[in-house]
Amino acid sequence: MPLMPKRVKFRKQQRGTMKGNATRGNYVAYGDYGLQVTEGGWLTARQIEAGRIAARQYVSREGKLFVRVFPDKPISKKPLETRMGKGKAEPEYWVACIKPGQVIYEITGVPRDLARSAFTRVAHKMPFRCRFVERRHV
Amino acid sequence: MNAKDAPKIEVKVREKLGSRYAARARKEGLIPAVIYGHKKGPVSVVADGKELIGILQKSAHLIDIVVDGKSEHCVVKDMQWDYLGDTVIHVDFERVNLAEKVAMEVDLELVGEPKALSAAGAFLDHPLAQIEVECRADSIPEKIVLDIAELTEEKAITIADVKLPAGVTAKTDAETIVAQIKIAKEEVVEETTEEGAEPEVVGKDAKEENAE
Repeated sequence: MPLMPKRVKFRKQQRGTMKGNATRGNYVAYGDYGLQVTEGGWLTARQIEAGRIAARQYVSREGKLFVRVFPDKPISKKPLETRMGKGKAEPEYWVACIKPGQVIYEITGVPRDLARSAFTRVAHKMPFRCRFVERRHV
Repeated sequence: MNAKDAPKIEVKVREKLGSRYAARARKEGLIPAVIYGHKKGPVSVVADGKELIGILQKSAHLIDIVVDGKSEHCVVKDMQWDYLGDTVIHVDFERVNLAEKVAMEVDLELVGEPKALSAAGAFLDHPLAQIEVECRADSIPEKIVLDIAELTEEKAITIADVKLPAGVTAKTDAETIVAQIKIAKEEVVEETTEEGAEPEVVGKDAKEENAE
C-alpha cells in the first residue's frame, strides 16, 4: 500500500478546488536537480510511489532521491452498480493536490545526464506535463 | 567586490503603483523593484530587465543604483520569481553604507573531486548552496570557493572548516554540514499497510464514532 497519513482529524474530505499556481515548493531546495510539474491536478499515492521506484531503479544505488509531495487528501468512491444517495462513500485512495510549478522529486549525488534521463522516465508515469529543473543560481 | 567595481544601473521611479502597472512594466521588459533602508522612505522603481539580470548573474551583491541622477549603494535583499522559477518578477534593494556590516547570503562553489567518491555507492551530499556571512558592504565576496578534494567519508566539512576571506564571518551555525560523502544504503521498505487500511482518526469524527 502506498503513502498515506498515519493520523487524520476527519476520515472524509470534500473534493475542493485548486486555483492558482504553486507559491511554495516550487524550486529545487534539497537536491541538485528536480522534476517540476507545469500543470495542476491530483497525484495519487500510487503514482508517487511508481515515480519513486522508476527513478530509484534507473539510478540504481547512486545518489539520494527526495519526494517533495505527500498524499494527504482522501478520495472516496462509490462501489460499482450502487444507487446514488445513502451518504458519502468510503475513502478509496489518497492524493496530493498539485499546483503548476510544484517540484515533486529531487535528486542529488548523480551526474546531470543521469538525473535528466531518470526524471524523463518518471515524467512518463505522471498524469501531467513535467519538466527537468536545476537548482537556482539567480 | 570593491565599491568602485560595483556595477551601476540606472532605474526610473515608478509613478503608478500596483500589480496591474507592475505587470505592464514586465511586459515591456522592465523589472519592478523597491529601494528601502537607512530611515529613508521606500522608493518604487523599475529597472531594465536584461541589464539587471546580467548584473545579478555575475553574483554582484553590491550595486550602485542611480535614481533621478542620485547614486546610492544598495545590496540585493530579496528577489521574487514567477511560479515556475524562470523569471525574476521583483527585486528588493536595501540601502547600505559602505563601512557598515551587512549580512548576506553568498553562493558556495565546491571545487575538486574527492577520491572517496570512487567507492561503490558513494555520493556527495551538499545541503547548502549558500552561506550567510557578515562583512562590510564594500567587501562582500562574490562567492566562496571550497576545495573538497580531501573530503573523506569519515569527516564532513562544516561551516567551521570553510576558509572565509579576511573580514568575513559566517552567520550560519558553525556545526552546519556543508559537504559530506555518503554511501547510498539499500532502501528500507517501510511497513506496508494492507490494501484499504485507514489512518487513525483523531478529533470530531473519532468522537462521533465512539458515541455510536
